[in-house]
Amino acid sequence: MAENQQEKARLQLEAGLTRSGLTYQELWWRQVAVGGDASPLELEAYLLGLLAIDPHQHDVIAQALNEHFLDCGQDHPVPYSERWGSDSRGD
Amino acid sequence: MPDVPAGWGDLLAVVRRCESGEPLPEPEQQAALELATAVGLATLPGAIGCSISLQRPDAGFVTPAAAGNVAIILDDVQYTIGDGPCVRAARTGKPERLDPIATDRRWPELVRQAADNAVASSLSLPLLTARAPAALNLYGSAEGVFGSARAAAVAMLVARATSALLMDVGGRPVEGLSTARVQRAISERTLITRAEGVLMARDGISSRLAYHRLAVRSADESSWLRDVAQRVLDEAEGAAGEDISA
Repeated sequence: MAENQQEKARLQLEAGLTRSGLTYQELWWRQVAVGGDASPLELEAYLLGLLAIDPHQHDVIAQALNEHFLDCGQDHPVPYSERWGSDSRGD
Repeated sequence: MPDVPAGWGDLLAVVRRCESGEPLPEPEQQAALELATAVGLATLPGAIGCSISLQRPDAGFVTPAAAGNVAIILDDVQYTIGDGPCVRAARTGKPERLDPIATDRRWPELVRQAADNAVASSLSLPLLTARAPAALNLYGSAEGVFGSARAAAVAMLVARATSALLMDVGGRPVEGLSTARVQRAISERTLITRAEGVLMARDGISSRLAYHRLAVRSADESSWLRDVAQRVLDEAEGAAGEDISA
């Protein structure tokens, strides 16, 4: 992912976290449940822009945030990654 | 985005090993502590020194790792007088921020040495270790460099990573852990993984792309991922039933 896309992705997650009011710890729990394997420190480092975030990690964290928003009656405000085209088979 | 700061990936990879209970051989632990101080120095704008203070069995302190010579000099001043922000942070378990250092009246020798070395502020954070009282110390070239919320968050992250390196056995337990919560998370993850497997087999795609498709579908259908995963499994089961009956 290009650097500006990475930063855009990070800012989307950061904004989502701020809007959610979740703590890092709570978000970490949620990302575990939806398939993430980042450690608590890694998750925080991603959101602070200290670790590069790849599209998969972005999607997992976005999913964790979106599940919280669904619980609150809101519908998926955090966008998913755009790396893969709809017919792409790459990783 | 500016490049991510160097060293965080390596540092957190070592932390992950420590937290999984794998003991680090002494040379690797030493290298990891030095990496932690280097990462602290490189990541915090305005930092000109970063060090770790560790209490010895005789209650004196040593600096097992440091980045930036000023950190070693100012740590030593505090060890000699037996007091100062790094010693207090380690002993009391509370952060000590000296900002500015110049107006402090408790430790004149520290103030003098800081001025001689162009250090204007400091932040010492206690470390949680299995060994002895310890602190992570940051020294700044200007007043206020450790005062922002971001600087505090980054400094805390360096301190937590350093604590994990000094923990020796398995790191700290995760807060909020309960059997019911873990079981729920595992069962949700299992469902999602099975649905990924179905998409991978059906469409010949990688697990990551399968996950992406599930996530996008959850947004399209305004659903939780576990519900989408269940529908994928149900659809696959229905399709298999049709194949058999055909």
